[in-house]
Amino acid sequence: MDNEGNFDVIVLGTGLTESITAAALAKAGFKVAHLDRNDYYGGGEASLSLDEYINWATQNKDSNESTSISLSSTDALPNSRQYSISLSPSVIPAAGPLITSLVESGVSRYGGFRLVEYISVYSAAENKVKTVPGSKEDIFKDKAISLLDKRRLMRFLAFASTDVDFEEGPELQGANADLPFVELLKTTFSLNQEMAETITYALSHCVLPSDKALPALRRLRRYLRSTGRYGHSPFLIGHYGSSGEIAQGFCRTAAVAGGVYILGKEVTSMTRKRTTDETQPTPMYTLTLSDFPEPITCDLIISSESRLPATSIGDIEDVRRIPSVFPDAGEEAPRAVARGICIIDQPLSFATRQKPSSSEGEDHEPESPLPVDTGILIFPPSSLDAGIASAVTVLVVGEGTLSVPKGKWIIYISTPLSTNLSVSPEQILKPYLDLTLSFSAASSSTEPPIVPLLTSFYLHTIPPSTMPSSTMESASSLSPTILIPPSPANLSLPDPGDAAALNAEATFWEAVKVLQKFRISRKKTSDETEDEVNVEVERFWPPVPNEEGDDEE
Amino acid sequence: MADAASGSTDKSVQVKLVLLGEAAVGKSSVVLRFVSDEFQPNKEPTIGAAFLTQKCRLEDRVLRYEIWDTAGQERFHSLAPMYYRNAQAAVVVYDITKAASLEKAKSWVKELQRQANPNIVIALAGNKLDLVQPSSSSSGNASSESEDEADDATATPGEAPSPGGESDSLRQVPREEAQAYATEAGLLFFETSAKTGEGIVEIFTEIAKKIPIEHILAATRGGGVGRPGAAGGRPGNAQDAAVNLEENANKPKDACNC
Repeated sequence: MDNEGNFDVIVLGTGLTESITAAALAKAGFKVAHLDRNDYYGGGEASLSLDEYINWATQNKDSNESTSISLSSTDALPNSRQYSISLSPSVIPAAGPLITSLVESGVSRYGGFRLVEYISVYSAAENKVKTVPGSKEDIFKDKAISLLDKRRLMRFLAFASTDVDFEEGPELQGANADLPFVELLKTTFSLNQEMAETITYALSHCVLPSDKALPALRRLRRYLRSTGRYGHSPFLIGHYGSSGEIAQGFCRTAAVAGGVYILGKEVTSMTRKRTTDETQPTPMYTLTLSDFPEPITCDLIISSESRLPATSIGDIEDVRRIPSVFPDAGEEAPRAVARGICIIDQPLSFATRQKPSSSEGEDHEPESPLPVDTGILIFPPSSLDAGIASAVTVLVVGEGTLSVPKGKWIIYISTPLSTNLSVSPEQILKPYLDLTLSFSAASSSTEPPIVPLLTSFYLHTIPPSTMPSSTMESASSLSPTILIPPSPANLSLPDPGDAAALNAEATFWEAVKVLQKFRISRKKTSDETEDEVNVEVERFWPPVPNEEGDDEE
Repeated sequence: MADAASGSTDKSVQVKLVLLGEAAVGKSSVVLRFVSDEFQPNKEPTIGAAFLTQKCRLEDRVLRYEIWDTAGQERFHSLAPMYYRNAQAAVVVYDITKAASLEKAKSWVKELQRQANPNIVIALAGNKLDLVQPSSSSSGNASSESEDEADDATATPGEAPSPGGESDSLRQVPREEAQAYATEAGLLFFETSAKTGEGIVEIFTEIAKKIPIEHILAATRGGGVGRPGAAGGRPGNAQDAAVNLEENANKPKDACNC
């Protein structure tokens, strides 16, 4: 009876949230099938080789005119496989839910990570890039900050890393509660304009000058607590394109625990058993796949909304949307992000090396630009006269992330869009990209500016809900058999991974509840043995066994 | 860790080795034979059944194999690129009593040449040699090592092992044919029996001899951290930037899971 095509749960889509959920369910002892219609892992968060990316962009271009791609010449970019281009680039706070899940699931051992070297901010006033000090010592050493400002900054940082709820303190009382973050920094903490902007955009990853203080403070606190865990920087980035590779790691873990993987197949039909009687031994759902001999069955489906076959969303009472449990995602989260990708063969520089030799004396020594391997550069809102009102985020990754060959760098550039703009992602981002390219490590003004080998822009949209909005409220079906995890809302650069880990855990517990119910009700009617019925689930990640000599039986 | 005690960490080279081959040819058994034969169990910590580690001594060098099983992801052509990344060696296994499994092995070799490092060392292993040796296959229990598939994920139910037989009549792939293919494709070649152990250690030793150790050492030295995935020649300042997540795992855990 334990047929090969019968599963407890079928997970559709291999995005990070779904992959973490699948790994946890497989490890908890459930029979998992994990499907993706793409022939690559990661969905909208995939890491693609250069050829795969060019294919992806070309296909996208046909269906979506906001996508553009231009290559200097294909000859300039050999070794396609040595590129891991992330469709949804992000960094990972060193002390957060994703890192916890990576370590506790053992997935961290599959991949490599490196620290983000630089966090920098563009100063429009001086038309230059400034590196944000990474630690208290750096702030003390920074000669550009006056003593008074240092004291104010320290006072603020102490406040921002407090354990106490921010709402409790006097800083956020009364009129302050509604102040935009950047204003609060200037008034309550007496920080100057430049510092306030740096904290608001480069450290707290605010997007607009109107962004509220409380969510910004909570984000900042999470990032501050990540500093020093693995070193200087609060952020890590995974090798080979980070989230796409991490998704693969969780999928491998699911497979090792018995999960079955079927990629590159479309779900062609999905039928639901007529009765809702869970005591019936027949499974709830039967799915057929394109070019796949046998139908597969399951009791529970977990699917990102965009992957769920449209025909199947009839029975609303079967569906439960898992609300996002990630804090401070922002209620009016924009539905789209303008993204750009650029490959270059000369390094950028966000910082200069001050000659270390002479002691604390004057710093008039010649400065040499330090090439960036991995760094973040933030353009605060209105950095450019004709620019857009929101902040623009740049992430540069080099060979140290193993996502490019030696001597190449990828520049990811993005900005969230709150409204439907009539301009293309290229029109919005190109000026910022050009400005970024002017910060060459070669630096001498006689050098020609860096010429990109590939430039591509696209609009990353969060698929609008295909379900009636009423289901959002009624989404608390008492006996759901379809779970929809929160879609990766467009979060600031460090947040998508942590959001995926938290939302995967929430989805996992929902799924366990549903699956246990099926098992218990069937136990009464069938003659399955105790062992088959009892799946005790105590933790999201069971302890990873340290010694595995028993394998040799 | 055990190899710190052996005092040879400076010369120990990590090598990622991936296993490929059709279901039920004995991939896992080949590895388990290698790992348990050479080494007392419970010495090396490994992670679930995710990968096994085993050291291989070679003159003054110690190779530390990190052996990755497919975990069944090859069944529906769903192996992740991660699987091939930075693999310095591969063992492609077929079953000498099933001609089709050699054809499958050939397609895996092609896939490796497409997906993996250009200078990956590939060994072809014709497994289940015991089934065609009269001495070992006369009993009714001649199911060979396909029963030993310890990894649930790769054991394929319903795929019955070849029935026991008298002698060479079970053989479907002549040694010469496979040898000729291996020579042509530039692969190491062995016939093995995970059940008796024949040929197993040889595969891993010969691979070890062929691996460009100096090259890996140089790359690892540049990169600091000793994971094979991390080897690959880093820029100068990347050394302190490569991070081992386990290192500080006990420090601030989920400081703000709010």
